[in-house]
Amino acid sequence: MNAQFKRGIIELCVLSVLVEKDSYGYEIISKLSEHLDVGENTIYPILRRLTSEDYFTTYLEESTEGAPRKYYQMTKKGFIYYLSLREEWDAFIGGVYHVINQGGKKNEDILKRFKERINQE
Amino acid sequence: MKTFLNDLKNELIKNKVDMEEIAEIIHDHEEMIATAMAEGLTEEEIPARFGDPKILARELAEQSRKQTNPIEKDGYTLWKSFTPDEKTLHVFIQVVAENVAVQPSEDDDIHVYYQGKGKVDRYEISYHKGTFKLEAPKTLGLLFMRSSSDDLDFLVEFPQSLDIQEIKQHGVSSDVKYQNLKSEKLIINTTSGDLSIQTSQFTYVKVNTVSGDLLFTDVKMGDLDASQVSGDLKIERSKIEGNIHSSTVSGDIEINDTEANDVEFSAVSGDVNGCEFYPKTIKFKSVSGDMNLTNKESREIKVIKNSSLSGSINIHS
Repeated sequence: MNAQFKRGIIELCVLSVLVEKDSYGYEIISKLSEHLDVGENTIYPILRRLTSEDYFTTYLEESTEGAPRKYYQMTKKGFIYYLSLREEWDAFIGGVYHVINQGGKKNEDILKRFKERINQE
Repeated sequence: MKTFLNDLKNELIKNKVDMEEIAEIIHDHEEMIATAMAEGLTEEEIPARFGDPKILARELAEQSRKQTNPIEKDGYTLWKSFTPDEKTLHVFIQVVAENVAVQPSEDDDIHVYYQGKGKVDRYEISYHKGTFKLEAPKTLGLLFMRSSSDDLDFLVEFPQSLDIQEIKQHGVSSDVKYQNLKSEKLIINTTSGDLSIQTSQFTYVKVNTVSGDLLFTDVKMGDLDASQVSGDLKIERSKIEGNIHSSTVSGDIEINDTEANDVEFSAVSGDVNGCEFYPKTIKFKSVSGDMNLTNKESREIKVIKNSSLSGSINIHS
């Protein structure tokens, strides 16, 4: 998958985590890695960039494991940005589903029709 | 953990990230990795979770360069760039007092630069499906309420590979400068802003100003429709394949080294002066304005209608 496209999706995932609650760095990373193969697409630079663009602010909070943790909190500006990305994504993915499912979802049916067509020619 | 952090630090130094930023990045990673290991992540798993230090450092360095060393051009600072998603382009610019210069970009992207003390973040800018928009914040209010902190000028660049369908610009006192552009339509409304267009090509141009002056130099146009009150109109070394329709109250019109088809001037007290100006036909409607044409070649110029009250028409060739 195109790296820039994937980065955009991961950005939306980071925003989706923080829209629900304030989180610390590793919490966000482990939440995303649970469901996604993040791999080379590093999350920390995204957190850093969105913070510098005022989409997030940070604060420190003591943890039970010693050193205080840096928490990320979404700003109003970040929320508006999240909404716009979300809308763009929904429209895009809706379009994709529409196109790829126009022949139905059953692979056997698709294969059957494909075979019929190939045999005719 | 130490290896990862050391590698990351060395890579950041290699990528010339400043020390203060490196300290912050390393500190953040110390905290995140400590949490990760407390949750059972092993040393070997660190790069898989946090990324290859080389790639991570390069990405962070690229980001910080963008923030700390803004790209400059002719005294302007780069604000936004867009990669075109369609071959055609529609442009809408709505400003108040901000001067706007438009020219081709040197690459295949759209670039917007700014200059001045105003807060550029308050401006709405977007590019989506072949439509570019730049709008001044509506909360700025009226012109006389503006402070010097609203002072801002823009330089907008469009790739030459794009087929520009229309450019619509609305301003109040903003001066406009277009050069080396090609567009189907150009529509400009302004109150007191001046307009200068150089070496460009348009199929249709419509300009409305009150006191703004218009200057066209080396412009190829289909039709030109200009409406002014006290602003002057000057056209030099241009070719108008269609018709000129120009109306003014007290502004003067000067046209040099220019060819045109049918021309219609209507003025109240403004004069029309031309040198090497060769239209096919002229309609001149005026109350007290004069028209003087001085041409070297004696090509036929038909004067269709002369409804000047006290003015006169002179064609010397």
